[in-house]
Amino acid sequence: MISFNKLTKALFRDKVRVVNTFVSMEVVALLTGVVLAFFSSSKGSSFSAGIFAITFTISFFASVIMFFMLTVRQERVWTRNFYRLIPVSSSKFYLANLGSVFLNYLYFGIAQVLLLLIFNISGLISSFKYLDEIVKTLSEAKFPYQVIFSAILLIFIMVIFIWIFVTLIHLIVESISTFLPTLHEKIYRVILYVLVSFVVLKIAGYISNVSNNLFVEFTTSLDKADVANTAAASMLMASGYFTIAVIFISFINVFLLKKWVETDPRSI
Amino acid sequence: MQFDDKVPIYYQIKKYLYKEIIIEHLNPGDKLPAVRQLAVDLTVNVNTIQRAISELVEEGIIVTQRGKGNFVTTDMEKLFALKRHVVEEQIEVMYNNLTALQVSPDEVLEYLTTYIGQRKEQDNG
Amino acid sequence: MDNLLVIDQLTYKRNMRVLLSDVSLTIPTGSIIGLLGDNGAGKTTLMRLIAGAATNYQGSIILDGEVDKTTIKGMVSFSEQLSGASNDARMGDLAKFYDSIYPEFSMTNFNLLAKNFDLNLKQKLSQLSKGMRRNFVISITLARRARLYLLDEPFDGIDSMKRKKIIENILTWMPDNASVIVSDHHVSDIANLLDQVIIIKDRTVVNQIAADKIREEYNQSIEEYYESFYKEENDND
Repeated sequence: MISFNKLTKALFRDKVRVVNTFVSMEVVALLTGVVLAFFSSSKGSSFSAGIFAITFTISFFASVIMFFMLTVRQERVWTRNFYRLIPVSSSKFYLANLGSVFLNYLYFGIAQVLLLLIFNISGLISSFKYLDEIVKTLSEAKFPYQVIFSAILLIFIMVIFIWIFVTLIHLIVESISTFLPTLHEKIYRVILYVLVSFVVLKIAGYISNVSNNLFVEFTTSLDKADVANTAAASMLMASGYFTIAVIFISFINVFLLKKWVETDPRSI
Repeated sequence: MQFDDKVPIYYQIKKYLYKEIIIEHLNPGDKLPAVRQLAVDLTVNVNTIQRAISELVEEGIIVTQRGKGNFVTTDMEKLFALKRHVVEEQIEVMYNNLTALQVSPDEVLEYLTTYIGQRKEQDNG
Repeated sequence: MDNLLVIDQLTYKRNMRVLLSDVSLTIPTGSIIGLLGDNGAGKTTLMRLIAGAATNYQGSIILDGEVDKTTIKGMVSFSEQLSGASNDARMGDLAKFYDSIYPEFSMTNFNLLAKNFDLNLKQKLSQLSKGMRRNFVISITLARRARLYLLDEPFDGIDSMKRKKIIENILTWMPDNASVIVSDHHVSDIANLLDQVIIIKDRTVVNQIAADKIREEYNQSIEEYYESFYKEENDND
């Protein structure tokens, strides 16, 4: 049986084409944005600030679109022969697909950082003269590393959570629709998606309510510590909370994949 | 090669190999192409070729040498008998058809001699 | 000959319909089997179940003694295995994908097959004509050294010269210990190729018989024999 790493790598490569095409389109958009900024910048206003605003906005929207595109690519994998006939266990398959999507988004994220740096190079250079001051402020003001770290961790886990949550809804709908007639299937599916999303969110809401009470008790006990630590601690708590949810939902997903979700007989 | 859809394929392949031997496309002692190659050439199943060949082996027309392949026998008596058998089969068909038309044996011979004479002239001219 | 595939009392329902009902059959090692039946009789469904694309069935599918779905997937090469591949992928990319995923995939064999079919591996799936796509699918399918090949209507939309080429490639690349199940509704294309035929009608197997037995005992071509199963129904209507 093929190793997890090899499978993840192959699934990564399978999706990376989309990322590459999309990033090259984004570069065109960025270049256009910069040219527009150049012509529209009046004397006196800061050119580099204008570029920063434009490039950041483009990158933000690109990140949102990329997220959706990768979600679609991820979901396609569950029901297509091309992927489902690969001789691996359902759990390995599930994790490799999730991993490949995550790595692609990470790769896209790194590309965004590099692109933003390159397009804002003039602004960066001009801010070098304040470098000493920046470093000084950071060291004096006790830069809240723990907050930054826990915020990044939380973002990562939230992103994964959204993906597996979408998968959960998709797989539940797939499983149920095999028991429904094919007549008017599209209508059924739309209703099912709404219904399943509603029910799952209700259940999730109930569970989170219960655990939230524990959560609140814990954070109030930290009241006396300083603000940064409290923020970091609550974000860490949230990360842990979502991690548990991710693991729990993943178990359900793998189960559905293994027992109920078949490939689409009509997919070409 | 065209096959008759209603006759077992292995049987038609046997006939095909008989012919190849009689017209000396395959000489005594010659090696037959590999079974898979024959299958590809005739676009039939390997098992069908295998069945035809094993019947020829049973008849002594083909000899299998372990690890080397299949060869046409060098036993000339067997090969003469094969030719006679195949020719007689054809004649039998013709003879049966003609006697069904109430042509007497003597007449058959007469018709045949005349026909052969005509054909010789035609083919030479 | 040993039995490679044993299917026992297979029943499959989906979308409130019975797609296969009580199918039992055995397939010997090293044979080529024609799976014959009208559209919608259940040919593709049967192949999907054997390949492991569908799981919710009753009955058993045993391939060379194995029942585990993951193991079986590694032993079966199904011509529908490329369905759902991204259309923006080049044929060469997909071959590399297969090379990295399937241990029994042979890049050397694939390249020979692709060359034989005159495929330009730089082309994307979306650029291929129906016939070229079929040739690519056959190349990928035969480049896996599997135990069982499932070819679902491989000649659909292929002209007769190319059909012969596909048949030659099946005969060339099929390993000795493997079997092939090929479905078709132009029986005459593959009639010479078959060891046995399985006739499927109304979602179940109605007969399994040796091809030469049809010719020898019934004095019929496979096509006539196959059609007789469907004629009876029309006469009764």
